[in-house]
Amino acid sequence: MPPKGFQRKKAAASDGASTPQLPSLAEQLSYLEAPRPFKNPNYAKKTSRRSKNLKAVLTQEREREKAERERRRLERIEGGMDVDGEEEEIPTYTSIEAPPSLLPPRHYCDITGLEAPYTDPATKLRYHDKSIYELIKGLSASAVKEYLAARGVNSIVK
Amino acid sequence: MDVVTRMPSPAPPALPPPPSSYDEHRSQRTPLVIDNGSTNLRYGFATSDSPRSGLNVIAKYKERRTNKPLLLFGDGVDVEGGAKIQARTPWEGDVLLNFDALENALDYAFIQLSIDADTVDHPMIMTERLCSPMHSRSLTSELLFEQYSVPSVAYCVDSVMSFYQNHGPGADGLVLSFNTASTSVIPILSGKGILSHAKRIPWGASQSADYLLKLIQLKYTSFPTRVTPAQSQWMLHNFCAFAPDYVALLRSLSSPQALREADRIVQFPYALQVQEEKTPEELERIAERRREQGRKLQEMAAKVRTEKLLQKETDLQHLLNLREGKVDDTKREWMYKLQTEGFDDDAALDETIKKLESDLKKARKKEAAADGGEDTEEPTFPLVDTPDADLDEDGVKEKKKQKLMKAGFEARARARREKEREREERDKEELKEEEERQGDLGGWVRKMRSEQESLMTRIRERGRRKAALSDRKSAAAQARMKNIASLAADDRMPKKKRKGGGEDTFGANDADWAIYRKINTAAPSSDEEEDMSQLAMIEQKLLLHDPSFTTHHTHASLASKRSELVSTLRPTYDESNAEGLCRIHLNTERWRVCETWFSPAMAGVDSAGLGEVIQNVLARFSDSEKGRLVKNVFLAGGPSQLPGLVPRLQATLRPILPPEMAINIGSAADVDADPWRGMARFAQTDEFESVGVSRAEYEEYGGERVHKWWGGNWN
Repeated sequence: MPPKGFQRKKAAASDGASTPQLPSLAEQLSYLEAPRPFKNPNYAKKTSRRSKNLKAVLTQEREREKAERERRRLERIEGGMDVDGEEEEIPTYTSIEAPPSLLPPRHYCDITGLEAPYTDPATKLRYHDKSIYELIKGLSASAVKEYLAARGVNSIVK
Repeated sequence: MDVVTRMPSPAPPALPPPPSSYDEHRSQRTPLVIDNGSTNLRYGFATSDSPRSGLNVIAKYKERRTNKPLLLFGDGVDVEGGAKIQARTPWEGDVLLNFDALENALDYAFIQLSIDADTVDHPMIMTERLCSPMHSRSLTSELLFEQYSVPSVAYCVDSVMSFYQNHGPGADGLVLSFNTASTSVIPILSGKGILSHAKRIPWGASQSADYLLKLIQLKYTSFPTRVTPAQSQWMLHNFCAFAPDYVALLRSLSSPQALREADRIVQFPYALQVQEEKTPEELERIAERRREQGRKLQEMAAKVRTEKLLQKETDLQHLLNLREGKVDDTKREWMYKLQTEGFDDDAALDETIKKLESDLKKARKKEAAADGGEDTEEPTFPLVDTPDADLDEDGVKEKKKQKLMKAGFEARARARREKEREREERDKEELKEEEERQGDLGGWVRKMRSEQESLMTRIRERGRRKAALSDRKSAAAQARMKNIASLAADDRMPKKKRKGGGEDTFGANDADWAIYRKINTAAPSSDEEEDMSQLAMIEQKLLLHDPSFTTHHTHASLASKRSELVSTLRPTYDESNAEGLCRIHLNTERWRVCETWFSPAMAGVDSAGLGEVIQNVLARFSDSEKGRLVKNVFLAGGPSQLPGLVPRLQATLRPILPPEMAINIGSAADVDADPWRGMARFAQTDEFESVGVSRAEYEEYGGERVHKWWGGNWN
């Protein structure tokens, strides 16, 4: 795209000695100074609420789901027959998570990605054939660990 | 198959299009449509044909040169390293979490839409994550109602809106939504998302790109340049595909020929090293200069040496003169003279003279040797054979000295003779070998080769034993422990036998001691070095005389030889080949990475894959509903455009469904903009007003409450 390159060149040239007051590309792109009349000047954001981390949010969500289930269970006991089946189950972020796989796991070679009929008893790496086994023999302990980590196996530190 | 693709260099970000005019929408309450995706933010008024769009990322930072604070959005973040470090996205993986970034991104959107009123007075429709966490929604609502004072907000699920755009209201279908950090399966009956039956897999395009990056880093442990996540994303989109039958594909790939066909080469930028070529004349000149310098140094050293020698000679002469003058002086005068010369007494003077004499003698000898070759003169030891009785005290001392010197001299001579004999023997052997070789080259080659073979086997055997010994449980290690135990045991011999005159015969045979060498694992084996040097010699001879023996047959190249499979998977390049060293070969990875959507366990995520999840979801519906769903399987989201997904899904779904059930799989017409278009289309219907949360409702119930409707979340 010629206009892009042109823009950039101009910006770069302007950084030189002749006209340093010309803004750089980053300055041209910045919208910090752009007016924002649509914002409410009286709104004070609660920084404490905004700074929640992912783990806290997901824990909170899980607890909510538990509480909700408990509430509905009690309701069902109290209300007897007349409410059941009427309300549909409400899915939450944690409840729609896919379950763990029940299919037998397939084994793939950790080095090549090909099918792996064998497992090295020393390193627990899966491998495709003799030549890969020889390659595994030459791997350092840390390389073995990284290969295992790519498959999500975290080796136990002895 | 050499398909080389150059890694594109990042283009500088373009200036955004000028802000659109607000006149048309001012106090018109045109619905405002925002698709807040975890990769892209798309925004615009419902009446526009297509959205404005940008990467959903902001960077607030201080420019280094001017020290000016700057705020960048989208592609602009790439303009500078400093900005890239400070880049923030509203999303953390799959969850909307960073509301400062969201606020900055929305500011940018509203500025680009040139909204100049006091509030954002437009009913809004915005996407949220499937079954979004309450925290995300409540903070988004707070931001929209309190910061921007919007009159109402409707939340929807992006892939459901994309389905609406493509199939209209009231359609049935199974939506497979491929998002950046997750993949969801959403059944839709009569246009309504059945979210209670929906499922989400915690695996998306970003995880796949990370997985590819990890595989590349494992394959190329010392790649000269850093492979960035953006580059691995580019590789994912350009080279990776779904395999209809992954296992069958892997089987076909296990032949090097097929692997070579599947190979794709990515060429990273590299710098050619400019090597200074020197002409032979220049080299000659340099060598000449060096020689000249060496000569000069030698001359200088020789000059210094002769000067020293001269100095010593004059010193000696002076001291000798001094001593001769002793007789003429009185004792007192003599002492005075000695003291002025720096000697304590006569003995000190004698010693110095002696030392000087011997120094001079040595120096002269050296000079003579340098001039006229070796000193062949045989020293004489006249006192050695004289009996002690005939000598005085000094004589005895001298005799002892001569004896020692004689022994040393004779030893040296013996060694020299030994060496000569060895050399002769070697020459003789070589001659014999030469004759043998000339007489019967084939036989000689066979002999040499078998020798080389046996040496190599021995070396390999030793390596194997070493490896076995490092494992405590191996047979070799156990045998070694047994040996140690029996050596340490006191009663190697039964007591009875010992009493009956049976002797401990250990050591009677020299070979007995070999056991100690065998059990010592720490000491480097001297045999090894010997074997290696012998092997090198044999190989050299073979290389010289056997025309069929090439460098490929040497032990070194055989030992470092890699199997064909390994070398096709990851071809190696010569150290000097800068271009080759900056290449990445993608072969099995091209399908391995996409396979993770169907089995995330491959990459260590304990979750069912797409096929299993679809099966689970379908299992909760009756057969007739199932038929309605699979008749219209709808693919949404960017990663669904990776090649091979449709045949793969066909292959996955067909076996789990009754044969008469028709399966149709289709994709969104425009995976990127269709959710936004669907939202815009819906925002112009009458129904839109009824699904949004009004400001009054927000103030009454808080930011979490929404109306349940066909395109939105239920929670």
